[in-house]
Amino acid sequence: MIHINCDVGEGIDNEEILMPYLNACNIACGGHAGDVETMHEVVALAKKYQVEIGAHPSYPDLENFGRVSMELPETELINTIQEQIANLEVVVKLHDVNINHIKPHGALYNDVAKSEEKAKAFLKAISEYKDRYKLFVPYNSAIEKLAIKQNFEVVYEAFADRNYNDDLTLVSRTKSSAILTKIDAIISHISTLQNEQKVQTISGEKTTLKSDTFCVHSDTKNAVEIVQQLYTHFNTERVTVQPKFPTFTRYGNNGLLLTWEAEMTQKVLYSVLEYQEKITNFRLKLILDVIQSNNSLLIIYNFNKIDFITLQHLLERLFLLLSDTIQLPKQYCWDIPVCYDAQFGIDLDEITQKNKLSTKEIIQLHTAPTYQVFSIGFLPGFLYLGGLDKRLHIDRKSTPRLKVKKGAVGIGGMQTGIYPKTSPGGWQIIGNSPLNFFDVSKEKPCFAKAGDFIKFTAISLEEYHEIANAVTNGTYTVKSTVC
Amino acid sequence: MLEIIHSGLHTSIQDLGRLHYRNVGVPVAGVMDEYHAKLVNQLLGNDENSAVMEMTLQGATVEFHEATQMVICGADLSPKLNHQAIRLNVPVTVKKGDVLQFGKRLYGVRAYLAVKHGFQTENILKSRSFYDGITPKARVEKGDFIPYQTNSNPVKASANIALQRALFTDTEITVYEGPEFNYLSKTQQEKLFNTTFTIGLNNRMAYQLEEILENDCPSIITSAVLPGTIQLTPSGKLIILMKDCQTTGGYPRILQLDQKSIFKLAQKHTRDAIIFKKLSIL
Repeated sequence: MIHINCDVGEGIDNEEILMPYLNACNIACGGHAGDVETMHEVVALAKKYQVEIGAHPSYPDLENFGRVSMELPETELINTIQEQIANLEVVVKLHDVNINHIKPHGALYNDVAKSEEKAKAFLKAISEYKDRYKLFVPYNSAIEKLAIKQNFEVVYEAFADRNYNDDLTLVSRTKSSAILTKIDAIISHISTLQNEQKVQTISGEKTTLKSDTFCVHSDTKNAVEIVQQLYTHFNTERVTVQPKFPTFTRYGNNGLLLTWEAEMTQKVLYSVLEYQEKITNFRLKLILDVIQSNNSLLIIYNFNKIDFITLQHLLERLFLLLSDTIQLPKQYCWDIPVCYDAQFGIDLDEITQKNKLSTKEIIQLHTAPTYQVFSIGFLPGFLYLGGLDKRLHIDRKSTPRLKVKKGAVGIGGMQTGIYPKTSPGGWQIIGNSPLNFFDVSKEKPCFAKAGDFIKFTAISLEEYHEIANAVTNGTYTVKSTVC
Repeated sequence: MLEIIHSGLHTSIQDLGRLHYRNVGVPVAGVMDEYHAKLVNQLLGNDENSAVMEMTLQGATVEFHEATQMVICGADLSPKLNHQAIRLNVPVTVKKGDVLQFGKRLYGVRAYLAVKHGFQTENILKSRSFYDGITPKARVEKGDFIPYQTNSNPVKASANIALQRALFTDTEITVYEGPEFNYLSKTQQEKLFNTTFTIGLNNRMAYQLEEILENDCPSIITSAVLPGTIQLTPSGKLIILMKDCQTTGGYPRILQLDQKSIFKLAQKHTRDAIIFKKLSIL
């Protein structure tokens, strides 16, 4: 187990991928980057994934991203630091969470590490937070010594993705050796720090360096890969055996297909719906759409923001976070009136002959079960139903009809269903329902959803016309019960 | 209003589609050739999702009842304004009473007409794209009036657009492996990439290919499909799904076109040849 922190809210917009892997985050609060909007967004994510929140004040220098030293009068420096922390305090209050720590950014971080004068000014600026917030400091630095003397609670921070000079300053970003991007090098760097409390500096020497938390810069080009790999490497005991299902498959360059066992069973359906619910729960901006079917979910993602492998890792991590805590939305059982009169049931005769059943028996067998909605597809509002009695299974018409009437209730092979609009079709038609199964004027155009149940109730021609009229007048409400 | 004097072969109003109702079975729909539809809007400074008029093979004849600016992109169907030939990809100011008509098809299949601020047909389920059963009509008909806003401020002439002829002439269709690609044997996979295929029956729902790929692939449990998905039927027919395709299907999904190839295919006609080239993804 290691403690990883990351500088965030700096406009890279990769926080929703990073956050599930972090222990702490340092949020830009207007000095070098960040505004009210980014702070809100990042604080919300930190809250969702229970990541410790840090204020990340900087020299007020948006242009240079706070990475250049500034000579400011002390009062001015103190004012800007206090103002930046206050910005974040307003935001965290609105989200009902607390700031955990303070960490200076960029050039300011380096300056307070080296210069006693700057360190003094910085500690003066944050003295009012001493009892509430921890302070992230580098080991053996000017600020560390002063902070301990002044009774700040310090947390030693080392950089996971930066090389160190012999004097424990960071190798300047102007040098090519400044940043570590190779995963193996980062892991070995962290392991040495963790196990020996030492760092291998750029000259190859091993020097003592204490570290409680490791920083990954979110603008390091493979930051996401780094935090994912560090998580996998250092948290092995937390990773349980991956379940066999769902499997992850690429679908084009912006689709990730989750597939379960090739069967239409309630067990598979509920697993699919649970995962769909989890994905919906995370509200990831980079997921554009999720299309559910009987034993699969197709996730359409923004390929400018994430690639397939990273998304797969992220989903596996998120699914673990929510295991067993998810509840499916309420399921309803919808009562669907169907008129089986010969006027509508134009294939009833064919079924009575082929399946050796009377019309009455067909109606009885069709209205007896409670069918489950497995998915919606084929046509807008067409429900794939499971649960048709074996005795009603019958092949599709050898020649499909060019026009099947809207509301037609049919049987095709082992399935039964309702045509939500007039369309060509090959199913054997046994009746008609006067209901609207798809209404574009409604916010939810289809009343039923996958997981719900359907029960057919036989009605007379007279009742059929009454209901049809009520539907047209908008006075009919589909009857339903909560299951 | 834009009055439809003659509807052409298959003319409809489309934007970028209806993306968030696939879970209740609503097809994406939207423009077939997104490249030229986005271009036509860009040339007028419109939002890229503004509704445009898509014309297929044969243009419509329309009369403008309000002043506006318009541009035509995509297939060259020889447009004429008040009997004067006009250029593609160049904004044109139109007055009340001007009549736009089309002549001979010179290249491409689908032409896009945009007016300043886009056509304002009813927005249904967050899109104006025509689709049978969702919008009142699937295509425009003679006598229809298509609303748009009057606009008399001229559009700043933008830099001339270099026409990408390759989008019309290139036979190469780039594809990714589909989820069921591995249902195919090595020989079948090779055949897929070594055959020149011929476009057969086609419309906004799908393009069928003439050549047969013999197979004994099992069908799959109904699962999501996308525009650009190539399904393989038991009889060996390859079906390339397009924008009006259903949301789910049961045939193996052996290939998936990339975005650009969907645009290219949308400009191909019956009997045109295509060759698949496999893309690998990181």
